[in-house]
Amino acid sequence: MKFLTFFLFLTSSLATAGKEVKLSKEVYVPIFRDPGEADTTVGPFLVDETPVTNGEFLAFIKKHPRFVRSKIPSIFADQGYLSHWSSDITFKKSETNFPVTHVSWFMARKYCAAQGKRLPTIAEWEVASDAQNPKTESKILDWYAEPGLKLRSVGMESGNKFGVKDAHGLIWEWVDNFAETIMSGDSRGGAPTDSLFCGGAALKAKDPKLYATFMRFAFRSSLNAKYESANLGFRCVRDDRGTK
Amino acid sequence: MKIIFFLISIFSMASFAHDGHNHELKAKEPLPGASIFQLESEWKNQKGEVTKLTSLKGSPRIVAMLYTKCDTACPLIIEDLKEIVKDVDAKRTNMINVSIFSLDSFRETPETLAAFALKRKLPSHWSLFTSTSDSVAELAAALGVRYKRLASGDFIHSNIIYFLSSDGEVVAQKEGIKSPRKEFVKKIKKIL
Repeated sequence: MKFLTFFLFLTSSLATAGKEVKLSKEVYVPIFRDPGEADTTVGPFLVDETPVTNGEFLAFIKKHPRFVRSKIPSIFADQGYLSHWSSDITFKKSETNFPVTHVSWFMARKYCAAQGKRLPTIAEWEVASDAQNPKTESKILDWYAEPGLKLRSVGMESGNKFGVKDAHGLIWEWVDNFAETIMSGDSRGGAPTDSLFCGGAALKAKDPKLYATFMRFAFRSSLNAKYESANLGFRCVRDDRGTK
Repeated sequence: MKIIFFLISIFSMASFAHDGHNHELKAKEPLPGASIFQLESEWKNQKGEVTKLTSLKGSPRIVAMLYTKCDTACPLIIEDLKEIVKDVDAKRTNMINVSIFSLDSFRETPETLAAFALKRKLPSHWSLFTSTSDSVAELAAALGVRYKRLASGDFIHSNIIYFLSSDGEVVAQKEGIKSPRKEFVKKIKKIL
């Protein structure tokens, strides 16, 4: 009997641990460049194979009950926080492996920190999701064009060239430095919101054909750390200190 | 009977005493959900003292985020802050608290903050803070300041000045450098 409970414990902890994908040092070519901004390298790092699910987020909430929907301080999340759940700690069983959405940047960050991880940077996310690959582009545009929202369990598709799954076509994902997406070369003249979606941003893009990337940056620039939405989730990363 | 009167007077004295300690009582009340004091980050001030954000609880204050190596917008924000304080109450400028948080976790130290305060002739009761990039990101996100570190080490950032209640809630804000101060000052006066 003891053996059985140990076995159950082992399998359940394995199931919630989540798979990670290893990325070695990669070059990130920024789409929008600020004065003096050059290509940068990211990695080596480990990225979650799939976005964080309702089930995984619930496990976190249960360990940190001060972050349940009914108690969350308003500075950390808007009113819609986890609004798709049926109560503080319940949701449709069939949605256990759906990506968790209706989560704010603060809560995504707290979740990752609790796993000893962090949110990816823009550069890390763009690289790991193979976002700027022209083949990915058409898939993204199809998804952006699709009205309505259909979530499904994570991990149903084959991964991209790194083995990362569900980066496109399922949800938008939080990045740690979303607020860097100012989209005006210079904010010194006033509040950056004045020029968030101005044509200048499109003109500054490295390759105007990358519409999907442009839309992703526009989306990020519209975010606020408390926001949540029905199709905004996240995944975590951590530095790979194990490589030689 | 005498004893009862004596007891009553003791009790009423006790309640008066409590009124005198209203601030202490208030400190035990839960923070509003929207308070920036919900953030648990630690900061170092220009004297090198380590404090939590909650140490700012108890008095309303004007807050801005900038960095001291900045020579374009930041001196203008400082001038703006000084003008706002004067507009609120020119005779009692030392009654108005101002706290400046640095965006530059890479280069800012208590020494650079102190040197900046000296150079810009900031009143001695103004406080300047620096912390880790994580704490900066959190505070900026909570306030709504957007910023980006450039390859040069400089920052692009929103220029917003906030007025916080004694509980750490943003009650007014002024966006842009050359924007009019009147409305912002009016809101501060209402609260002070």
